[in-house]
Amino acid sequence: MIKSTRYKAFVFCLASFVAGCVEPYNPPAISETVDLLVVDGFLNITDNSARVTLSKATPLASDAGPVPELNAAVRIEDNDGDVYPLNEQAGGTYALEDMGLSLSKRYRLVIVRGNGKEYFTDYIELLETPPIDSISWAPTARRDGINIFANTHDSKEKSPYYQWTFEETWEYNSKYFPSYITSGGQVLENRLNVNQCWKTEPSSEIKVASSTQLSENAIRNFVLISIPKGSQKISRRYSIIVEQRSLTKEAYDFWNELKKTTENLGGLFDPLPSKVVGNILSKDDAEEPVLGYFSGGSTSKQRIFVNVGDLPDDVWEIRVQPCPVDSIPLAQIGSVPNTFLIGTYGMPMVEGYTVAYDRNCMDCRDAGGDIVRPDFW
Amino acid sequence: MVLFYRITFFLCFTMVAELALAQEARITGSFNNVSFEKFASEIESKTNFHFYFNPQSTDSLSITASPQNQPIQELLGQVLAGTDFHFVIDGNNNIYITRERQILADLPDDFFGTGTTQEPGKQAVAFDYSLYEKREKERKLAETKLYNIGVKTSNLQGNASLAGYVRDAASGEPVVGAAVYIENPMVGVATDQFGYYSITLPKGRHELKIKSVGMKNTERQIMLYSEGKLNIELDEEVTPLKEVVVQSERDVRVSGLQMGAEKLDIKTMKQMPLALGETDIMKVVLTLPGVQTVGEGTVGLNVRGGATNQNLILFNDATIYNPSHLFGFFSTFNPDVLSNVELYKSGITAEYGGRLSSVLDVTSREGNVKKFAGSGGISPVTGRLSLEGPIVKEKSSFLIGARSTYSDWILGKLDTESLQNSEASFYDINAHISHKINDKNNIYLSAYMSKDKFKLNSDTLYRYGDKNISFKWKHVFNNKIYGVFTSGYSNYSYSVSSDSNPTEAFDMKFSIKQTNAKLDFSYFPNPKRTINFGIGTIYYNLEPGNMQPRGGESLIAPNELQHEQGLESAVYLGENFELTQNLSLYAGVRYSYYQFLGPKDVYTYAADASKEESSIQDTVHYAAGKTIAAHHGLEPRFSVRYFLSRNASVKFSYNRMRQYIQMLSNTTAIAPTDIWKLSDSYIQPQIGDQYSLGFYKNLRGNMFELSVEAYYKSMTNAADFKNSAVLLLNPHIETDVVNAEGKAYGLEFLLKKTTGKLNGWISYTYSRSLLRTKSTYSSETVNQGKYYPSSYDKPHALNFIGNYKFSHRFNFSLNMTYSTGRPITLPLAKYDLGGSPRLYYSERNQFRIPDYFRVDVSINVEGNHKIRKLAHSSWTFAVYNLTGRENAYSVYFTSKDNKISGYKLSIFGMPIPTVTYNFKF
Repeated sequence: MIKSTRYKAFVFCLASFVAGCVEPYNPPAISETVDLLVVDGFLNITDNSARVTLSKATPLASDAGPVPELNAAVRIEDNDGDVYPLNEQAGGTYALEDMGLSLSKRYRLVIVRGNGKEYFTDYIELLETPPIDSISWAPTARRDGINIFANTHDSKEKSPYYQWTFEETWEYNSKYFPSYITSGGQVLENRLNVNQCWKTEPSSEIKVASSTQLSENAIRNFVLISIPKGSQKISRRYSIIVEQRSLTKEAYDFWNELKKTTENLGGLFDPLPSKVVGNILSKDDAEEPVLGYFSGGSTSKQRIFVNVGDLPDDVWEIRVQPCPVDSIPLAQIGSVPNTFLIGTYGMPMVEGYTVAYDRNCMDCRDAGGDIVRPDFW
Repeated sequence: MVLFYRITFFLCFTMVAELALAQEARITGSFNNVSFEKFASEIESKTNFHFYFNPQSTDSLSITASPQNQPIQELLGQVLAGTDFHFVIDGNNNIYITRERQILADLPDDFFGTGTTQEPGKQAVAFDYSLYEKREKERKLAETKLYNIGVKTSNLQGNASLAGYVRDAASGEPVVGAAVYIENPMVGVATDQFGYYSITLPKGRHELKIKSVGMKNTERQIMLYSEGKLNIELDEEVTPLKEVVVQSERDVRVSGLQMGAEKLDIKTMKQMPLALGETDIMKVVLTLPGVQTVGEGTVGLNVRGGATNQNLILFNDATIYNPSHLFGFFSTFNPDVLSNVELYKSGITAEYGGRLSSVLDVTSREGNVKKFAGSGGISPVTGRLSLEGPIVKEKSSFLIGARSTYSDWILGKLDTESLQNSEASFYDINAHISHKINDKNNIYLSAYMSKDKFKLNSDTLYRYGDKNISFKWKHVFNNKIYGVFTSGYSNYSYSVSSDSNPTEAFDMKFSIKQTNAKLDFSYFPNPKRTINFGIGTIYYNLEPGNMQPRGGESLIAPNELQHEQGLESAVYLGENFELTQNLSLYAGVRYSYYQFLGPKDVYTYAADASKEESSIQDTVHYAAGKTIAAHHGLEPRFSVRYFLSRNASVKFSYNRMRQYIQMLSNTTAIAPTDIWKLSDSYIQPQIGDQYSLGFYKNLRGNMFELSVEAYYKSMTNAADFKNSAVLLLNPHIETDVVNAEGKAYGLEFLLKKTTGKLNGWISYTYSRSLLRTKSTYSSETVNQGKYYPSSYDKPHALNFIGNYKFSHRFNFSLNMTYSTGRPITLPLAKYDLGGSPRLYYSERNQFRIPDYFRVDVSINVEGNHKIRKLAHSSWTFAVYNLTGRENAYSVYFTSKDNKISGYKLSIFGMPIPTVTYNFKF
């Protein structure tokens, strides 16, 4: 017994490091009112457009999502003095198509907020992005899922800094195919295929890499995302489209610092968090922090598909969703409108229909997907 | 038989020989400068007389005489005239030679005659005493005996110096820091690291008192005629319960000049409850006022608002760069081989230099010179064993200690996959040899090695280790001056290797090699003055980073940064003098000269721009040995002590320190991947000034020691970093470092109870530590150049250490620690960017993590007290963090799955019980 107590104590202290004795913690409410402008702007020379999203930071304690900054006047200016006013769209997005962007010109962003405050950036150069060599995938070393990799290279004198954003789409099924639906106290045959869905999610982590430590300007097998074994993403078919951008050193530092300061902190040897401020300046108050970054250049894209049949057996797993079923007597059909029904019990003594307790066992849309097959599928 | 008598004779000076009528033997011969031993054997061969004497005490005697048929009594009288030797001849033709005291006739009437005299023939009975009682008897005899020091004269005008070693009677090891003093007039000194003391006293009769922590107090009756030697043996205090003695003398803490110093001996430390069942000196030091750490599981000390790299950690005079094992859960000092630890927070004397904040001087024991012994222990995580013993009895000894963990083996046994994929192990080895060549020369050789290896649920393996060797030669010129030559080599290195992704697999190495030599002298010209002076130099060779690809597939470009070389030399002179009976001064100065040496390529930057990669203008090559940059300066040191009353004093000190090597780290704790950097053309040496004022009072006959110290400290050129600085493998690191200046101030209270069944201390500290960056370029400033709290600024700290002895065998300890949470940069707002919610952080260090509080208890159970048994053993049962409070190590926020969550990381968030078995043989 002593042995096991000692072991527990020891395991505990090591576990403190490995898993960390981590608990949720909410600091004393920081009630400072904040008026911080957040700018996410990119001049895309590949499709000749500008897109700037403006929002406001919210206090930590608030439940609200990001607040879009509306009614601002946003324009791009080039070093020849040409001005390109952007059009306001929904949700604080300001955009312009067919701009005639040129690699030989330099551009800057100017924002005049609804309250009259003005912001600007220095003139920036547009950066050419090399094509993606490949987007590939392979089982993880521990065979507990798969990794999706990015590979690219460029000539030695070009920028060694890269950023990737991506969008994942996957096909999945609900457990049961609902053959019937209740409607107006009646049972109708279900013609809508709610058994098959496609779900799309944008990337949520900052993915940047540099080849400065390498002997060539190449990125090999950079992990974009890891998908664990048994994930819904690889239950039928998976696809990812990756967009790659070359970055300047300043932009790389910004994104990397933002990543470090919000994505990997708290470990014993991790750096201290810091205030991350981008390249947008306030005209009136040099001290005013403005969050976000404005940059520009070309982009390259690539899409790949992973079929579930391609997965090696040991990284493929079906997570069996617990779906208890029950029966609804015919007499009660009227009280459960618009409910999918799986079918009859098939046992003659039961008068009625079978239904799953959990709706998402029948309707795949409840898990966030859409039943419309995407164009590229 | 002769030896037997000689020993008896030597040990028991109280014997009285019967003076018989000497036979009329006559001697003829010629002795020209022969030793007494030879002289005696010559006479023994010619006559039927037998000499009994102690050859050790007569070795300084040389005989020159040409007796022609001279009576033996007359001859002996002639050759011993003018020395402090006496002789007596008994009826059996035995001649006894004694030193310092003449047998019989000269015996002072008030001294003996109380039954302590015995017939020589009956001496053997004394050996029936148990070892302890025998030793007690010897101690009593030594205390009542009158030692005549020097050549007997009737001129008792002026002063004379007395010097010697204070040693542990059981092991023969030196007792460091023992107070040797007389009370009237109050003159006192403390023994140095060799147990050596030199005290100058008015000639005449004195009662010399000797006091040391953990040892029995003793005294010697001396009659000082002229310069002489007196070695003193102290007994370990094994039964402190008996000793409820109210003492009235002044204590070193009040009377010494040194302030801001703490001395701890290993016995005190072993009674404290600690995590994972092992005595850890670094954790004990943390309970002292003014010493803090940023969190649990870190060994780095922050002394009086200084950074972790500003402490000079010396182990037997060799510099230790990383004093931690296993992420800081253990310190690298094996408790079994340690003798004592001294921490200087202020009033640092001129012989120390090179670090701003403090000196932590750790000394190992020398090993038992009398008999072979060993000790060890087993705890849930570690096992340790040390052996020691004489090589040549009473002259040389060895001490070897080793410690290792079996954590790797345990990890392998665990079910958790992430733990199975982890590795954590360490070991350390100590070896020490000391040799006494003769009374004037001692040599010491000590070697130390520690290694750590860990891998935390990943494919990245970290290794680090210290290797040190030091050699010391102490030469005593005479009672008033001695010198020590020290030379040593220290090597600290770490490596990181990763093979998670074959195309990015690498090995990275970092190392510091340091070679040093120094010569120190201590001179005691008269009772009121002590002078220390010396010269020393350190050569540094740094390998700032070497990254190599690992395996054929790796695309990692080999990247080896150029080595850095530096030479730090210093001379110093310091003097202690007593101006009046109540006022003592220490004044010292150290001059340090530092050169940053080639070969190296150095970047030059545009003069009117901030240092960025983009502002590099040129590269200048410096050849090997060429000075690239030189920094130098004076470091004045000053202390003064004034007695307010018999038991109270006030002290003031000022010291300036210069530091030429700094650690660059952007983590708050010492991490194994922190790099050290030598000062160069861009990174200026750090300079620190400290003023401190203290009040000391002993109450109730020294039962309580009270002290209050206040300090103010300023630092220039402290290194801080730009945001997201790259520190590893950065060939132009000056572009990421910003120059900061710091100030720290505080007030420390300490109340200590040193005697009685209940002892311990309570300390409270109020302190602040602030930094600010000063630069004309915004990229080089933090928080707009305003003062901000350093990461280790913890204003309130309260510590309690208590020890209660229930009986000789049971001892209970309680340790309580409270401190303000350390500063942290907190998020103020959230926003969306890059597909996820992000946090907007405050300016640096504007908020704090929750306060820290912990209670530990332990019970020591000693084995039975039988004198004769194979091994003495003890058990320690301890509970670390008894209340199970989940103290925050850090607070952080992460965004994942579109949510921002705050987390608190705590280490040891529950009570941790441990059982340790220790043994000694």
